[in-house]
Amino acid sequence: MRKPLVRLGALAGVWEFVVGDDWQTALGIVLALGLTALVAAADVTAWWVMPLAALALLRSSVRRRSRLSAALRDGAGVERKRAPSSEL
Amino acid sequence: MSGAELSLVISVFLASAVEAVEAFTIVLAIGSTRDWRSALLGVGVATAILAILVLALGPALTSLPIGVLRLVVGGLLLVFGLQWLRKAILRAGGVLATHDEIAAFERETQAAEGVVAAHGDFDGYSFSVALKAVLLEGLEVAFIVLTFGANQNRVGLAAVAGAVAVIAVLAVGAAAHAPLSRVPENAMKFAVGILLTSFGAFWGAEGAGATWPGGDAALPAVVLVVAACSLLLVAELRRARVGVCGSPS
Repeated sequence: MRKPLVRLGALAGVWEFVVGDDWQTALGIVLALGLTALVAAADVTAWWVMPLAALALLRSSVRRRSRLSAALRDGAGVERKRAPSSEL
Repeated sequence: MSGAELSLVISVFLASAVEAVEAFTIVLAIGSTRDWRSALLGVGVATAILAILVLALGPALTSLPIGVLRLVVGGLLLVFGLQWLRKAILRAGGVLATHDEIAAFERETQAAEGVVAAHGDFDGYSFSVALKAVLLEGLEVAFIVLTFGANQNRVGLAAVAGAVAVIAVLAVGAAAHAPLSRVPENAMKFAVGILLTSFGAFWGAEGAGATWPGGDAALPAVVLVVAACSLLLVAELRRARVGVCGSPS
């Protein structure tokens, strides 16, 4: 009973360390790598996919966090309670 | 030293220096408030764990086929690099407060003073707080050392760059005997984020089967594009904040 719990805890720790609070970006990267592989396998130039995807994901991640921050600021200063602790 | 090796050294050095400054602040607060010996023991144990991690995982990673390695490492570097870059952009754009070492030092000092004093020679609180601080900050560095180093088959060089950064921070910190608040942490984090993101996109694409025009010579162009777009995002955030602050309520 203890071992599965320990494993689950370790997995949660790895997830938190690597993915953090932005799973959408992590998923986007996996999809972009898959798309690059598909385009390359079709013998089409594929180098542009990853930089483009990275920049689009960065922009959307920054905007998401910025909107959340603005909403929290407007919501009577509850940012400290709800913002991801890694960013405080 | 090749351009790729130079990028490896710069990335690992900057990342290690940033994390070392943050860990140093916590250890300094704990050591000067409670017990230096227990705090330093925590630092030693954490450093040993990190060294074992790099020594164990380094050879395992470098034994992977280069295509698989680049795909996995590229993806991981991108996830990690985009997190660093996002945080640095939000700080530079004024959305998040910049990291303040003096405030962090005061916070840690207050917390340490609030805990009951240890009986005997060993202070478990100092030990565990120092261990946790060094381990958590160091894990990010170990990750960067492993991924960057394994991809270029230069884990040793990456580890040396990281160690030199930590020693430099410790030397400056020991001389100042105060939190290193004048280190431009956000600018360093910004630079590391750009490098991690660029290398991640470059290696990830190669691992997925893409071929870069000009081979490795394309990498500086990727770095420049990522840097330019990041600066544009900062400018966009600053403009939006000025617009909000300047608009009539």
